[in-house]
Amino acid sequence: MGVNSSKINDKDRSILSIKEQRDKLLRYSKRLEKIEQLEIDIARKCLRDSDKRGALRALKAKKLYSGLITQTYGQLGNIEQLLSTIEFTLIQKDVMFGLQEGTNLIRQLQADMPLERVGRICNDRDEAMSYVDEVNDMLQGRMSRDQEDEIQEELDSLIREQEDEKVKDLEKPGFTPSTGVDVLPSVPLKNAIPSLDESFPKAASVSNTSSAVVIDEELRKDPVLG
Amino acid sequence: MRVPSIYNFPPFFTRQLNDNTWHSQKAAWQMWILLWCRENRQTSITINPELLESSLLHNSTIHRTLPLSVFREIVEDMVKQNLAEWTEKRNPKDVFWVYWRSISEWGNMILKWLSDMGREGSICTFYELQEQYKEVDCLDEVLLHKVLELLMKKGNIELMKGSSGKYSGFKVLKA
Repeated sequence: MGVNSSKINDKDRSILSIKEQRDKLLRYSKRLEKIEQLEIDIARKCLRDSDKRGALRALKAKKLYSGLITQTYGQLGNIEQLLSTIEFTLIQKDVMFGLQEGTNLIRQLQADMPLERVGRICNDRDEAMSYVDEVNDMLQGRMSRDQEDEIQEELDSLIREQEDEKVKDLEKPGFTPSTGVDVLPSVPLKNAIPSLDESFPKAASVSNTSSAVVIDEELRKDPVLG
Repeated sequence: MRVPSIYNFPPFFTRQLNDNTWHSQKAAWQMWILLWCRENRQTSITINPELLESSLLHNSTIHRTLPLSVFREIVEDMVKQNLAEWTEKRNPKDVFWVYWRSISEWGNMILKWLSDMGREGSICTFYELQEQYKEVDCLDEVLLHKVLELLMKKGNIELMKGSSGKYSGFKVLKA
């Protein structure tokens, strides 16, 4: 089956080649390790058979293979590092692409937000806020005047109520002269009389008999006031 | 290794003449073959006299051996049921794959491993796959190729030819 060019590119083929080389080195190092182990086994067998020369030969061979193994692992390390670098670079490329996309997106969004438009919106907002403030001020003024009127009416109403109550008290029956006569000598009563007369100036024009009646009525009120 | 009790039953190693019995015997043998291959992680078998000495066909405890001709009959039946497949299209047919796991199952295992290892979009050699994923190191080269070819048809990977001119790796395609 042919290779689909849209899926596989030259970079992929290069990576595959590098990985193939790595696989070859891995296989080679495994083979060397097996041979090394074999030489060690031979050395042990020779020693058991008291063959020092054979053991020495085997150990020399082992050392040779050890050296080869070390070199192979060194090369493997290089290839692995190369593969890691390639892989990371590919990731970096993706990251850069992502950043580029993000930047383009921001620019598009900015194009939808021209400064003049933003300025206009801010001005409209400020005007709206000013209007609201004016409305608030006007409403506060109006309410204030209404409240004052109400308070004034309430005050007048209270005053009227007080006057009405006093008139009713004067008209009340139930006073007896004998009670009034008993209290007459008291000094505080004398002091109290002028203030009451002031509040009722018409009473002074009444005859003496009437004045006695007035005094009685005033005395009657004191306990109520107290 | 687990051994089914019928393995120690002498008639198990003698082809039965009664059709119903032979049918049951074949089924039991097929299960035993699948089990033996799974336990020994063997994906292919070569029919040759050496096989007569293996524990697959020979039970040393009861001194019984299944004849190769009978074994071949059983294998033919396995092929019909897609439990096995001859590696050669023409005679002589002596080597066959044993599907104790189907090609599809092997493929799914590989896909899962590639996903778990985060290999999306990367290149992987056949050697690398079998070295790092021991579960599938028992697949021989041809069988592995069959499995990967199935994955390619499903659009999961793309096979790649190496420097030697034959397929040696694949690219894992992103979903």
